[in-house]
Amino acid sequence: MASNQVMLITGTRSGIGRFLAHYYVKSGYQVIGCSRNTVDFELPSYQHFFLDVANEKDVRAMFTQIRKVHGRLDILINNAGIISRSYVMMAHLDTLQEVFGTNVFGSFLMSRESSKLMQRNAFGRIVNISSIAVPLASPGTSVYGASKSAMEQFSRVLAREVAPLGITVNTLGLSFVEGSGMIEAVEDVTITETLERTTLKSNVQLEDVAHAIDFFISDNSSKVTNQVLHLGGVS
Amino acid sequence: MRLDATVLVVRMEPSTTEKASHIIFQAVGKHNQRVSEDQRLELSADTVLFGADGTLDSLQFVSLIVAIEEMVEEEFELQVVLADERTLNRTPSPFQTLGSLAAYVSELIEEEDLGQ
Repeated sequence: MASNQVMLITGTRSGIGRFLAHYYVKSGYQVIGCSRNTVDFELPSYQHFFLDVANEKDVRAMFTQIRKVHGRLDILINNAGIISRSYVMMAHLDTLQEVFGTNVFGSFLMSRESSKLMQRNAFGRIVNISSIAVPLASPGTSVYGASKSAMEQFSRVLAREVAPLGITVNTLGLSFVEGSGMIEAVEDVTITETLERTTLKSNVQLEDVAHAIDFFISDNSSKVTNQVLHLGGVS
Repeated sequence: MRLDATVLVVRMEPSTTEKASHIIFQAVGKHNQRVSEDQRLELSADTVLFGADGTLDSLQFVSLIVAIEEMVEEEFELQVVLADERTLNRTPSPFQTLGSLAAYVSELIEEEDLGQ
């Protein structure tokens, strides 16, 4: 199924992105990754670009290369993201700009340029990685949650705009993922309080993330679009 | 004689507008291959592109603009954005006919060339 499909994953240097790059290379995809810093791995069928996803010029240059080398793009996983926790009264504007730069502007640019390439073959799958921070709206998540909420909103609109072009757009809202680096970045009490508000009340695994993405990007998922799936369950 | 030869060479080099027209006609040719016969666009500068008398729907318009942007980049090694808010609000619209679009693309290419 995936032998000639080309997939772009943002933020592959570490955590979920790194895992997904390895997982999808192993699954037979031609994988393109990107990050602001160097990666410490090499894989067959994997190409890496060093860039800031919020830098429009560099993003467009990367897509020019993808177009020249592959002539197509089938799947985009907007994984690159910055986590920020701070109460509103203590939040810095610089943090807000940095978080929105990566989480919103970066995802927007990637989605825009990907849609242009995907419409050539009337096929595309865009998966945006969001967070349960949006529905839970816990204290301390205003900046991060607002950025992911913005991403979810443009995903909803994009899904409608590109549906006639054979492109689906879906969002995966993550809970705490073991092995992703998320858990180490947050205090234990916050994790416990957050998980208590989920259906499963437990962390999820990297493999759970891949499984959910597999569902969204399947050739058989052409009718699955404009959806938000929360791993771990929230109500 | 040498002067004549030089003049001949200069005349053979197409202008930016001619190159832009060629790119647009190529993109329209590709568009015509993908759509039904009644949706095809005539390869003429007077062909109405978008608006009340146009045959393109909004998605076909977007696809055509994207194709032209890609071809401009390949031909001129320039990244141009043809349709943004500024352009869409411009009067008269550069997207009225294939001819007005060619003129606009040529204008953008020359602007970008000067900026580099």
